[in-house]
Formats: sequence, structure tokens, C-alpha cells
Amino acid sequence: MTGQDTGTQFGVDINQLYIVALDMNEVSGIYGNAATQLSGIAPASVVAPWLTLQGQLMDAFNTAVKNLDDSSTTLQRAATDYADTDQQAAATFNQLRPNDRPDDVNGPA
Amino acid sequence: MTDSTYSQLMSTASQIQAKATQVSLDEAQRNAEMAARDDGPPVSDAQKQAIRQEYADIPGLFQPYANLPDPQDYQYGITTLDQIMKTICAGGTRQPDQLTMGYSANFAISGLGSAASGRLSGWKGNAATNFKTNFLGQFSLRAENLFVLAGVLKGGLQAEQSMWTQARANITGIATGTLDALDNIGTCGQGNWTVGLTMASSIAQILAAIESDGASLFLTAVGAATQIAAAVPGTPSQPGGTAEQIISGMRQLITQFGQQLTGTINLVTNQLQTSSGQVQQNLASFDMPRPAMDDIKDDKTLTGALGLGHP
Repeated sequence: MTGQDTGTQFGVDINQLYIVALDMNEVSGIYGNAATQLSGIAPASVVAPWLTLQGQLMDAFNTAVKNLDDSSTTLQRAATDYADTDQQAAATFNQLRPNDRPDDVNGPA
Repeated sequence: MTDSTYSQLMSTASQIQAKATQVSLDEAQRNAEMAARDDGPPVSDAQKQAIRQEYADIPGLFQPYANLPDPQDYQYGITTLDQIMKTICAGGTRQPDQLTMGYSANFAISGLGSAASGRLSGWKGNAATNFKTNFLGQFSLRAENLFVLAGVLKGGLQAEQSMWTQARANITGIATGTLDALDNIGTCGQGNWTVGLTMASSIAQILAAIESDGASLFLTAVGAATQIAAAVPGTPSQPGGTAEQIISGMRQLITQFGQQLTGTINLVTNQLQTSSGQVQQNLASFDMPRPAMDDIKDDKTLTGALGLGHP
């Protein structure tokens, strides 16, 4: 199956778009776990600037989680809308979703 | 130095006080006998009191260092940050090998970073282009910066752990060295003695710095995992001989130790303070920006020409 078969919209394969959205979810999870782990570090004695840095990294992780999640949702909305307006693409796209990644990015053979 | 040795610091300090007092009383008695030949007059109560007073402050000299932080308290944080670094490693080549050694790129993170120029390279549309340029295109840089920041935090804990390990070893060394020197008075082992102070010699440098590759700002850990080159003042050997001389040497060592400890704490604090300041001044290089497309609520607008593009 080719990229055209799966529906290429404005130069993008919507399957790839959807997979990037899922990748963003995965990375969001990684940063979310990192934030949870980081928040659990509380040495009995540590110099004050270390705590400031810890807070800065926590904020950065949480910002990444929020924006990756939101952008993932946005890309999934876009991919779904693309598929809805392209029945040929939708057919493949709907087949792709249950086993969307990672190997067969162009959908079932 | 074992932990149990350090935990006995104040007990050792009391032994030093008792030993120095006893040795000095014996010396005073011998001196009095020699002065009067054979069975001379005993040392007066006033002399005894003066001798006891001379060493009364010894426990107090060690007391400020009797409850130094336990180096083991930092291990959980170091291990956890190591795990975090393993999972968020973004790859890239901006970082010194000392920081990235032992960490492999997480493919989910590195793959996302290359999506703009790879899987989604042909994607058109106003918001799509902005998303690729401003979010995905900058993702690797920010992901690397988060990794480095985690590395700086880990380095900070390692520095403090090392600092307190050495501080405990040094103050314990001063105490046991002093007691040994007092024990050796009058023996063939009597002589100059020394305790090496190693406080700042192996504190890893943890300074983070913002650098530029010409296109973007990125964080790097300057000289991560290297050793501070600042010379540690040599510790002169202390004269043996009398209890008074030994205790005088001990006092000098404790003073020198305190100065080195304060200097090392300041060094670690300043480096982390500088790193924090660098981050604060360059937050845009750490925070992943919110793409404008995320605020487009209507699906048709989202995939329209001003959004992500639509056929």
C-alpha cells in the first residue's frame, strides 16, 4: 500500500500524522513519569539552589506534558477530520487505528 | 573512615579532652618533681584547674561537625535522576561525552524530534508549518536541555554527597589523628603528625551554561564529571611533643577544615545558583511552547487553509 492509498493530505500521510500524535502521547508519558519521579526526590539536606533547579525542571516537564498531550489530541482530531473527508483514506485509517504502530505505518498489507 | 567512626566523633572528642588533660597534668607533675628534685611539691589545685580549663573547649570545637548530613541520604536522588536521564535521553551531539556516557537515546523522543524533517516533511498548511517549525523543529533542542538539566541536578547531589563524605572523613581524621598523637607522647612514635584535608579536591564541577550553536541556545554542563582544579591548601604537619602542642595543631586543623568546608559549600551553592540563573534567563529554551493549533477548537477551522491545511 502506498502513501497515496492511505490518503495524502497537503503532503502528509494521515497515518503518519496519527502515529506522530501517538508518539507525542508516548513522550508525554515519559516526561510525566519523569516529573513524578523527580518530585519524589527530597534529600534531607540540600543547598537551596538545587531545590530551585528541581522546581525549574519539574515545571519544564509539566509544560511538556501539557503541550504534548494537547498537540497529540489536535493531531488526532486533524487526522480524523482528514479521514472523514476522504473515504478512501478513512477506510485504511480506520483499519490502522487498532494496531496503529509501530511497524506497519502504511496500514495492513 | 567508617560511618561508625564518625558516629563516635563526640566520644573521641571527649577522649581527646581527657587524654590531653591527663598528659598535661602528668607533665606538670613531672616538671614540679624535677624542679624540686625527687619528691617535689604536688601540682597545685589552681594549676590543675588551669590545665583542665585549657582543654575544656575541645568537645565544643567538634560539636558543630557532629551532625553533618549523611551522604547516603543523597543516594536515592542520584539513582532516581540516573533513571530519569536514561528515559529522557534525547541523543544529540551537543553534550560532552562525560555527561552522555552510559545513556542511549530514547527512540520515542529522538524520533519525535526528527518528525518535522522526516515523516511530516511534506505537510503543508499555515498552522502545520508553524507546528513543524516552532514545536517539532525545536523539540530535540528542548529535549536535550531537559536531559542536561537532569544531569546538573544529579551532579549537584553527587557533589553534596562527596562533600559530606569527605567532611565526615576529615573531621574524624582530625580527631583520631589527635588522639593517636596524644597516645604516642613519650613513645618512639612521637613526632610530627598530619591529617590530610581533602575537602574540595574531588567535588565534580556541576556548572550549567548556556551556549549557542549559531542557531539556537542550548544548555551544557561545563566540565561535567571533571574535577575542580582549584588547589587545596597543603596541610602542614603538626608538631608533636607536648599535649599543648598537639592540641594547638588540632585547633589549627579544625579551623582550616571549617574554612574549607564553608568554601566548598559556597562553591557548590554558587555553581547551582549560576545554573539556576542560566535556566531562568533562558526559559524559552526549556519550555516546550504551546502550538497555536491547540487553541483551534473547531475541527473544520483546524483543518482549513489557515489551520493544518485541507484538500
